[in-house]
Amino acid sequence: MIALLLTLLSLSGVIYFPTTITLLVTFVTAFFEPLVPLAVGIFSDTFYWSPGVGTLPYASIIGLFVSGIAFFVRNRLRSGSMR
Amino acid sequence: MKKTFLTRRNAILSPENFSWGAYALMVVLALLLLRVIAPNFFWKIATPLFQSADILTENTHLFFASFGNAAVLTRDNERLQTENVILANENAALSRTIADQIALTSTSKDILAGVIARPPESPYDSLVIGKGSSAGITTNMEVFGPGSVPVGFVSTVEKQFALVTLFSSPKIKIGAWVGAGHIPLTISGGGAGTFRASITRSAGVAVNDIVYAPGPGELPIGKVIRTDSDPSSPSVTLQIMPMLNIFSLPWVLVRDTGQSFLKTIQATSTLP
Repeated sequence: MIALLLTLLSLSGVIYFPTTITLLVTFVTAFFEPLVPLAVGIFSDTFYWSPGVGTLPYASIIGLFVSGIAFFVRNRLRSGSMR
Repeated sequence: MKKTFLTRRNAILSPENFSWGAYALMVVLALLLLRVIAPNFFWKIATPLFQSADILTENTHLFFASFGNAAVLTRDNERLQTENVILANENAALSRTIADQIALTSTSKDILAGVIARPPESPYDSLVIGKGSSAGITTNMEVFGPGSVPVGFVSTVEKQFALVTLFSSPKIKIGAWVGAGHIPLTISGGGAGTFRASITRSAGVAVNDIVYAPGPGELPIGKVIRTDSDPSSPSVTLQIMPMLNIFSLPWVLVRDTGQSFLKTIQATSTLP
């Protein structure tokens, strides 16, 4: 349930919260849901990225990067624990 | 031998990892696809979201701004309280200083007298005050106006009244100083409440220089309002306006400053 709330909070933060708060919530959510940073990045670019300007969709790229780190950390933690 | 069965694991879409993040990613990708395929429809459904975000932002801004104003008011209040304490201390210090000054410059023999008649009711450049010899007033006692500004001396004393001749009266001459350099000069009454003085041009006296008269210490008696000069003369004539308006004096202080003693010395002196 916490993961669901954090996921919704991260996504809604793209529209309703300041960027810093959205980033903070997304980083926290990444511990529970590694895909959320990528989703938030794409969600942000869906609303705010302008393809005609010629800039890269940085939010998606950063989200992908953070999600990759989150997966890496989770896998490392998982491999270090007894199952 | 039993064959070991290993389940295929997918790092992203395995049932273990297929969670709310994956659902969110799917929804977001669908939205992205919607924006690419049908941008008009996408922005139409996104508009209420942005409008609600604007309303929320405005309300939260007002909410936090109210806290901000309260904080500013609190800071201002604390600053003003501090300044108030500082000003109260300065006021107390200044009050003590004034009390010390009064104690130094005045004596217990000061006699407060109301002014009964002043110019033009009284004879010109003189005052009639409501206390006389019965109150201890004697001739040649000096008379001061509000602010310890010397205005004249007692010339005639009755039992209940006294006549004060103002320093601005014609033929009256008193020693004084002028300007920041306290240049000594003799001022003479010019009539109509004014004074005149003559001083060398090289003294550099300028308009608005203060003129001080001897009392207990130096007391401001007037201000230079004009300098009249003749190019052929080495001196300039100063027109001096008194500090007090003698036409509206409500009361005066009568004080013995030793003028009688001084005149006695002058009368008995054998020096030229």
